[in-house]
Amino acid sequence: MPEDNLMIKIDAYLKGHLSKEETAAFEQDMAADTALAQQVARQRLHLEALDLLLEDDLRAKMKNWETEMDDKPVASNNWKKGGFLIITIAVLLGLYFLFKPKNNIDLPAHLNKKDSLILEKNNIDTLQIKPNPTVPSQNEPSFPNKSELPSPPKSDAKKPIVKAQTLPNDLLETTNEDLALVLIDLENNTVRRDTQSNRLMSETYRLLKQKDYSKALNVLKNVSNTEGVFLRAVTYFLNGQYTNALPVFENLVKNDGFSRTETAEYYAALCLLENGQKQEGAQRLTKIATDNGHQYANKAALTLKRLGY
Amino acid sequence: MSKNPKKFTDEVLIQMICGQNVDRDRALHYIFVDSGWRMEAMGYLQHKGVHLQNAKDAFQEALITLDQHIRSGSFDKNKPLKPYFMGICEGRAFSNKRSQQRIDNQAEMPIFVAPDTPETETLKTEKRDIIRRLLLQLDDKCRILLNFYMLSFSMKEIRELMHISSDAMTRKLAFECRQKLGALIDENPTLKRYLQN
Repeated sequence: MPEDNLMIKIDAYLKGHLSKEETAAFEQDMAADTALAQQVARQRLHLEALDLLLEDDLRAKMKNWETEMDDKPVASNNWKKGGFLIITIAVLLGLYFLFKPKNNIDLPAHLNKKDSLILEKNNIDTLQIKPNPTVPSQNEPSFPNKSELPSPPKSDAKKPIVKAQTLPNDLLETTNEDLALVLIDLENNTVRRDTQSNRLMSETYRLLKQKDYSKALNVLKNVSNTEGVFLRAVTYFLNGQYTNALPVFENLVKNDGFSRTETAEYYAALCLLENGQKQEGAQRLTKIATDNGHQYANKAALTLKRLGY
Repeated sequence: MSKNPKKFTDEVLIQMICGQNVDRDRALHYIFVDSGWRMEAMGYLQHKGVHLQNAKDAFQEALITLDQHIRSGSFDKNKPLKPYFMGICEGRAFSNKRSQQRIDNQAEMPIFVAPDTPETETLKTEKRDIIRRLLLQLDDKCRILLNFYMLSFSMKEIRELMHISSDAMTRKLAFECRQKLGALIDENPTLKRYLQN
């Protein structure tokens, strides 16, 4: 038998391409011919090497696919769904502004949200409503005439959550998926004792899985540990409340005892972008992207690339 | 099969993985990127206590194994693909976890994990590292040709894809590349020892 034909036959045997009868006959030949048996053993190793060639090729492809997933254009159906959603929201907003009542009740100055929500020092989890110190509190609740009130400052409460966003929908979707994975990781890798606080945390994770963000935020009001604070930031982010999420992420970045500061850094940068502070957001992403050891270096680089920086 | 199928059924995926390189890539790309299996597998593994990065690695290794099993015919085509794949994922994840930290609680382990000893694992890794280095010594043409050969392309298909003048020449080239690879492997003292054992 010519050498190359023998090689092909041995390959066929090793790949299981021979029929039962052919296999039996070949094995008989091997038993009788030590040289053939040795050649088969050598070729087995050759095929193993070739399998490794395919494996490495596939590994390289998967690396690209992983990058592609971060950088993936929106699938046509998702795009259609997203487009339909945006149009519906735009129409609803238009109708709202067209028919909204003119005489809205304005908050009295001392209950102005921006001034009265005070982030307590050393405990970013405790948000308390306090009277504005510039307004004397003795004479409440005498509401001043509307004309006497200063024009209300802009606050999150008056802003619609859906707004012109910086991050493309697909990127935001991937980012949210990543965040969901971080949550799964966090939930599964935290050692818990059976305490009230931990029961609340479990409840929060359950609500987040159901995407019931407002209920999750309600539950989180009663949790003051760092994990709870992180969850609050994440919930705000997933709910599109980037203005609320930003200060919480920022505080977590400064928190030395927090193990996921890099996650907080990256998402704080995204919040800045979504809040329209594009320059600051891009600067922070650049810093992350150029830090080789940063967990989010690749993601930051990809985000910048997508945004045209 | 050259166009994207409308629906990636198990049958279509298997056919594509066994088919031409472009179809195989498309099928594996679909499983990796668009099928949703990745998210599902990672969610499940993390729920089982596997870290995110380890879950990602397990998914990649499982896809490599699935590709090998389908191409070698060791996958039973009558069985559903997804549960089979998820089983491999779980097996890989626990196997990796075990090699990082010995798990005492055997009840945690899925039953299909082959019990490799640390010594066998080290040997395997050592052998693969050597082979990888040897493969780098092959020229690009040989690497591509052998890649097609391993994917069970016919000489005619390889000739067309690589623009070789005739089937006979393709066959000759394939044989020469195999000889080169063989010589590299046979001459390596560590691999020689491995063969003798």
